[in-house]
Amino acid sequence: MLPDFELFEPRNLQEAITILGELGGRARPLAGGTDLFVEMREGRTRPEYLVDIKGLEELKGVTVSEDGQVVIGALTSLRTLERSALIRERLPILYDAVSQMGSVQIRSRGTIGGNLCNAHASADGTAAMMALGARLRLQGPQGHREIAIEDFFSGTHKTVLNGGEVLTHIHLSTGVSGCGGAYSKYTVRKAMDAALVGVGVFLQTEQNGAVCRVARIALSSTGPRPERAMRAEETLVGERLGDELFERAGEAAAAEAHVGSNWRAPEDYSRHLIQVLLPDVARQAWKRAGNQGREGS
Amino acid sequence: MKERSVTLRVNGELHVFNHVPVRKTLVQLLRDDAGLTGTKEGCGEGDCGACTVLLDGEPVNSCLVLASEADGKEVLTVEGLSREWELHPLQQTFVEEGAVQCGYCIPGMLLAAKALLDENPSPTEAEIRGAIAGNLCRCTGYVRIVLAIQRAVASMSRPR
Repeated sequence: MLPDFELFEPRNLQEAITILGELGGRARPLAGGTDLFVEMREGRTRPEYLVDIKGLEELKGVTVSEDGQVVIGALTSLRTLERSALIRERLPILYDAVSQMGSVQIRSRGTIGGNLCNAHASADGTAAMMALGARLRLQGPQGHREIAIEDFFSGTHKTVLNGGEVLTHIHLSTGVSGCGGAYSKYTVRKAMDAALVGVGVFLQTEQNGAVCRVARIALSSTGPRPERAMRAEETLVGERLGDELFERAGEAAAAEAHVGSNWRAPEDYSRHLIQVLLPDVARQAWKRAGNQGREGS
Repeated sequence: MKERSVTLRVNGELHVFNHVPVRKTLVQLLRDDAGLTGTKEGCGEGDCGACTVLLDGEPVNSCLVLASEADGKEVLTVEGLSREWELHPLQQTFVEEGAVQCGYCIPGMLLAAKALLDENPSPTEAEIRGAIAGNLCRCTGYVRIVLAIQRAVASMSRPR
């Protein structure tokens, strides 16, 4: 059995916010449980209360808003995203990330919101959504607010969520024509392994894909949280895309990443991986940018 | 609440469990309360997949699901795979292929494989290996397990 706790099962978002607000730091929201229960078993967290929010249907599913954004409910399972034709066609970078996470069993339970709120540096979904320039909608006792994904993390395993505040939806812009993204990670094993380094690249191109207009590059498993590689982005913007430029971006990202040595990899190895991985991911993103709107892409 | 009643359909049969502690996991409920010990608990942390069952058709690690979370749902365990005395094609081919050594991982392995075939009746070898990536086997090296699943694919696609 798990360590002792008391369970709440709110029936709607308002009730969940009220309960979480009143219980404060003694409570943890329960979404998929694939991280939370492991932490509880290992004694890394000892919540007195769990608030099972899985009953909140309004926080599930993938929809397209009137202005063409893809809106993902925070409680949508990773498996649902992996299976979604909409995600595969319009946001293949997110498919790259979620389809490589854990096992089928973990993806069936784990949620995209849980992946964000646990704020692990190795969160593949987070890095992909950072490259997509995601905006997060939070709802709390004082109403709702919308923030950029970069502003969501306040430290290792820490977010800016206030007491009672819940991440409800993720807003992703699919971009206009000429856009493409890709995510890939380097792991020691082929499955069930956290990334040594993960790289997400989003490109918006012009002049029939020849020139980079916008670039967003996100790294996972480098520092204490997923981060943007701004120097590498600057290397690309306004330039003619190609292998040589991607190599330069890889070098820039490897130099700027806030990476340190850890038990998984020494610092210079992680930097080497970023440098090698980034050009490959960028080429894939570029290919997808070029294929936008064509049949069968 | 610290306790609640849990109603769920296990292998087609409706069960009602009263006074279930909320900290009890689904694998414990299945083994201790329903008496279905085919489902094994290995690591207890979602790494080994020995406790895999299908929850509303989806493979899950039942060590990472609270019994209360399964309320109102349908569970399939290894005991529900065979019909009367006839083995499920996957069970049959696991036997024929010699895919079982110590056997501890097999209930979870069978259910992970069933979930795959329910969704994708003609998977590639890579898709099979991807579907059982969350099920560890420390005996076989997986070769015969993959062969058994491929053999089941062939036997299930053959018209009877």
